[in-house]
Amino acid sequence: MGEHTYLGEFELMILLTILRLGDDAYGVPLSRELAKQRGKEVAVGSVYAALDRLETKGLIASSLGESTPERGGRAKRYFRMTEQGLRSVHATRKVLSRLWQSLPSTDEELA
Amino acid sequence: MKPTGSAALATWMLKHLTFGGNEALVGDLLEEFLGGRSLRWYWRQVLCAIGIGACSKSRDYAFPLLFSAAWSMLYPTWRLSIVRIWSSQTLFERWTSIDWPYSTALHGISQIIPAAAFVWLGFFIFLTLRTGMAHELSRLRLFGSLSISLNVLLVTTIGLWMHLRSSGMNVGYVAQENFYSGSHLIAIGIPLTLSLLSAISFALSGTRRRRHGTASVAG
Repeated sequence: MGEHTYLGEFELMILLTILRLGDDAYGVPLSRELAKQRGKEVAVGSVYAALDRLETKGLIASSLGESTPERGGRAKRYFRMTEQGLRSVHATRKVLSRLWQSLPSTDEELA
Repeated sequence: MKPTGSAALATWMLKHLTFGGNEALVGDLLEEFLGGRSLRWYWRQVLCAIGIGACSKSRDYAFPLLFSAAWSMLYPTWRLSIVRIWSSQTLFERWTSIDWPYSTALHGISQIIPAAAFVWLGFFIFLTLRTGMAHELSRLRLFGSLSISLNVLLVTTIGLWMHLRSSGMNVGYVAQENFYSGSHLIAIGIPLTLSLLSAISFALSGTRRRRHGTASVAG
C-alpha cells in the first residue's frame, strides 16, 4: 500500500478519461471528454500541466503522432496509461471505496 | 492554415511565453480554434496556459533560486580563505608586479577564478543533492552549464564593477576582509546567484527534455 501514489481528484479524472478514450487520447478529445463529464469547461493548459505531472511520476507515457494542417502542422501528443498508473488508480479506488462506505445518505436518496 | 490578427498574436504568446513551448498544446488549441471555437475562448485558453506555465515554472525554480542565493552568501568565507593561503598571496603579489596591461588582466583573472570555482562547486553540490539528476545529465549539457555560468559571471561582474565604480566604490579592495560587509555582500551575491542559477537552469532543462524524449520513444 505504501508503495502506491495516491491520486488527486483531477489527476484521477484524467487517468480514467485516458482509459476511456483508448488510442485516441490526445489533448483535444481529453479536454472535450473531461468537460462533458464534469459539466463545465476545462482549461487545456491545466490538463497539460496535470499530464506532465503524471508523466513525471511514471503513471502515463506519451508519444508524438501525426501532424495535420488544422493544427498548424503540429504533431499530436498521445497519452497512454502505464502499469504503474493502473496500479495507482486501483489503489486510489480501494481507499476511496472504503471511505465512501461511511457516507450517510441524503434525504433525497432516502425518499 | 494560419491564424490571423489577434489570434496570431495569441498563438505567438502561447509559443513564447509558456516556458518550454509545448508544441502539442499549441496544436490542440489551434485545432479547436480553427474547428469553430470563438476568438474569446482561444484568448482565455492561451492566457490560462501562460498563467499555469508560469506558476509551474516558478515552483520548479524556487529551490534552485533559494539554493543559489544561500550559496552565494558563503562567498566571503571562500574568498578570504583563498586569500589567506600563503601560496596564492605570493602569486597575487607576483602578478601585480608585472607591467600594465598584463597586471590588470591578471588581477581580473585572480578575481574571477575563485568566483568561478565557487560557483562550480555550488553547482556540483546541487547536483549531488538532487539525487538522480547527475546521472541524467549528458557531458555536453554539463559542459554547457559550466560554460554558461562562467559567461553570466563575467557579464554580471563587469556590470557590477561599472555600477560600483560609478557610485564611488573601489572594487580593487575586493581582497580586503571588510569588503564584504553590508551592501557589498549583497552586490557581490547578485553575479554569483545569477551565475549559479543559470548553470542549474540549463542542467534542469536538459534533464526534463531527456525525460520527455524517453517517454516519446517508449510510447
